Amino acid sequence: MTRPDPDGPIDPVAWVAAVHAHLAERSVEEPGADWGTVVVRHRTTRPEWFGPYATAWARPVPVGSANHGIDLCSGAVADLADVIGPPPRPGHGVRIDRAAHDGTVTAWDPASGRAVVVRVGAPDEYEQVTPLRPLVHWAALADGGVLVHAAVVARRFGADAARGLLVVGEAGFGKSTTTAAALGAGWVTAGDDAVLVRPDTGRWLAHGVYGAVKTKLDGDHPDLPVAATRSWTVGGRKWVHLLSGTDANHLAAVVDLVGVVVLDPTADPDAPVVAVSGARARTATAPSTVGALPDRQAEVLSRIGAVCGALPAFVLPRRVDLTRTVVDLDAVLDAADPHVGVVIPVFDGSAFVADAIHSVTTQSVGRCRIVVVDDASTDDSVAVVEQTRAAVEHAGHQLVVLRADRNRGVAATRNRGIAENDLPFVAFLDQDDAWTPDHVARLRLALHRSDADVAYGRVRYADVAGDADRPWLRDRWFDGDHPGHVFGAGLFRRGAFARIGPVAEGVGMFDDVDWYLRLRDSGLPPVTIDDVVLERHIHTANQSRLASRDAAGLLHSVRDHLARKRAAVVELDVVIPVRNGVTFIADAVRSALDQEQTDTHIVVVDDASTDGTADLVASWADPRVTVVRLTEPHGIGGGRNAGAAVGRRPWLAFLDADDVWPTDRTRLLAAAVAADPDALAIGQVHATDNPTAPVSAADRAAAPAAVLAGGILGRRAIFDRVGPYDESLRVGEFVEWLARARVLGVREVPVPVLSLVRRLHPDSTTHTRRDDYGDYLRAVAVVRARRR
Amino acid sequence: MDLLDQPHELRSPAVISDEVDGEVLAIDLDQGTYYVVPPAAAHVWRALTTGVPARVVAADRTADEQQAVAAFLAHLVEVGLVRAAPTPTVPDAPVPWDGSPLLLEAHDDMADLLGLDPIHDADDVAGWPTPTSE
Repeated sequence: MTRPDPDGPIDPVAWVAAVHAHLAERSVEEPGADWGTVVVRHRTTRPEWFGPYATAWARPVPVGSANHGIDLCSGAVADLADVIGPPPRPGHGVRIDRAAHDGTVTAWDPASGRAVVVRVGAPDEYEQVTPLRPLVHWAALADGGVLVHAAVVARRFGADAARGLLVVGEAGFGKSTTTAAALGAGWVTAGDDAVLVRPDTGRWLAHGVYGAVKTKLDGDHPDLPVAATRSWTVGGRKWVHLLSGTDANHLAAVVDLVGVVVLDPTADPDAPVVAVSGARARTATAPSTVGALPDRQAEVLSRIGAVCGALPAFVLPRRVDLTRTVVDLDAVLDAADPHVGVVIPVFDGSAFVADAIHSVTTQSVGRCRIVVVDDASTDDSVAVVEQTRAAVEHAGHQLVVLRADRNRGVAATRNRGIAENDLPFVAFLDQDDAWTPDHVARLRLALHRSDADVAYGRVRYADVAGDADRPWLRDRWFDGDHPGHVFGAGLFRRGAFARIGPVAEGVGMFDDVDWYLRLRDSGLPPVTIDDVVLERHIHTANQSRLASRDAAGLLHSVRDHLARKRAAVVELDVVIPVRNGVTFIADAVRSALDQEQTDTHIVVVDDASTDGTADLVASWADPRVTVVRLTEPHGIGGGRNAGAAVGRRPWLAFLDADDVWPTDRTRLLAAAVAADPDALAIGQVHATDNPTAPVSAADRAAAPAAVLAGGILGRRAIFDRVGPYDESLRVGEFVEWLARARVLGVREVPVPVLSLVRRLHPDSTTHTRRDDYGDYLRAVAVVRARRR
Repeated sequence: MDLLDQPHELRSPAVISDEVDGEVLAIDLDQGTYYVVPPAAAHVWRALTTGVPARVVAADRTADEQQAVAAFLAHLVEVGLVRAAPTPTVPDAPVPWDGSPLLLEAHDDMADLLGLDPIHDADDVAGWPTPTSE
């Protein structure tokens, strides 16, 4: 071996090579480990120290195995004698961690695959539970993954897989207790403290690295409900139980993650499980994960963000009774890994249908019952479908085949599948199309994060025929992706079909357009995502090539839509109080006049402006706009009251002069409370410094409830009953008004629709009226006094 | 040729239309826009989209009415609902019209649903998809 030049700069590559070679000469080989993406070979000069590591691995690898990605040598600092200098700083791709608290140096040179660990003394009891964390951390990052401080509990799914939940929370929050409870109920685990999570073709996999499960020493928690190969105590507080790496009934080598469970010991122990944002899950995961790792925190945070952004998250309170925890886990798994009825209408589709079915059975989440409805095929479609049965069931899904006595068309075929479905979700796939692997995962997440009952994504077209066979189809369809207003690009809560009605059977190929038209005219619009969820295959036998025959059906659908639109016109008074708003008032008025399906009368109440606002509005001479001029300032509440007194229309809304409305807000809010005259529809609000710019889908999804005068819609009768705004309050007037409305039993209906876009600017009321914040307190005091 | 003398026809197959209770509904499948022509203007629409030149439709009308017919046709051309037709059609009788406004109401609210799927797409040359074996 070569001793580095003591006078020159120390090269980390040479240092790792020198230490590795020096230890290797004197070592014996111990069993290695399989970390899911990399196999580690382990040689040590101190088997009495490092030998117990072999039992810590969830997946130990026997001595002598080949194909290892990391060649590890371990030993004592003393074993290095004086031939090798102290570790250099990391560099040249080499990772080096010096843990001062226990005198351990860990280093890895990814280029050569060599890793070394040297310690001053024997590993302590903690290190024997989760050894070599820095090395696992580096290996995880190198493979696109991350070592997360979390437990994983899962249920077996199909013959080879497990679907489960990432359970996060700081030390003491209950990861081990939750894991033990799950094991007692027949679940499996991939570790209760640290798991390697990494992306794999549209899904997130958790690899079991450590096989330990811990239980508390004190008596209020059960012993581990399964057999352990070795148990010992750590810190006088916990038992550590090592599960056998070959015990597949309890230890899962790899788990498909379908959701995140955030443990919250501070929550009411009887509180229900609630869905929370990915941001909340990230906040619960990141600090203790990053705190336990030596370096590269930014990368770790970003990976954790990606995991939490892709999975639905739920908060679990700490239950007094652990059997309730198991009930909670079952409920979360049901929500995160939904039961989906997948309707596949088939007519003479023997050439394609097996591929379609395959795209369902390879979904990253979703327990699917594939319902093939054969529409009296004349080919051997049914036999082809039956040939897929073994693979479908092996993957953990179900297959049901229904046969029509005569050809009834695709709409009737879909309706039969819908009628047969008793699962919480339903989805569709045409025989010649294919889902992307995360179709269910992404759409389920969109539904999880909204109140909508239909979600759909985008579509990509694949050309499986030559140009000559599809002269009618332009090449541009094969560029990029397109909105998926087709049944195959959606995921539907079962109730959506009860609400909107079945698929229309008289409109030919345009049954999906017709249904989506009706969905859009309903009060609860669908949620859309930007991901491609469906691949449509264009070939010579596409049914849609025959679409020209169905033009009459499309005209019929659009005519029905037009009739609904005409029937649903909202007659609306809009009151816009304004004081010195000459810069903004035009945007506000225009957005109110542009409301779809709305017959709008606007009352602009000029609150004694000195900048010519009233003259500007009057100069437009628009018959739909009335100007009321107040000579003395009345404040925003006074302005609203004065404007409301002018109008007479059945619907009444208020808009601040510096805000704008999205064009569909009135139509959708009105539809949401159409059947309930005593309800206020409350949409969502987005704040921006450019309110007339389009709002992105992500901002729409993240928009909070618009509990603001400009964010709601209700009938004039509600306003008449609740009474005018309190003009003595300069701010907080809406809070006070809404509190009165609640006392009178006015219902609030949240609607997942962007109803207000607020303009952020230096003159905003909330910036300029700091002195008036006392009015908020007064408003709250008024409300509280009334309650008493 | 003067626009008034040029016969026109619907730009099918990309434009489809029908009439219910005298009201015309037309859909431009390229754009996803749909149009409504009220009953009072439906006869003029039908004449102009089936090859009757505007000058024939507006024959014996006041100058204002002739102007209205010309503007209506220009609008239909501009939005792409019609294209030039090879031969003019001669109507059996004067086109009924009480002189009320020739309105063309455009609706874009469903453009993404109606206009963005190959199953609605058609090529000007090859035409709408046709069954190969019928």
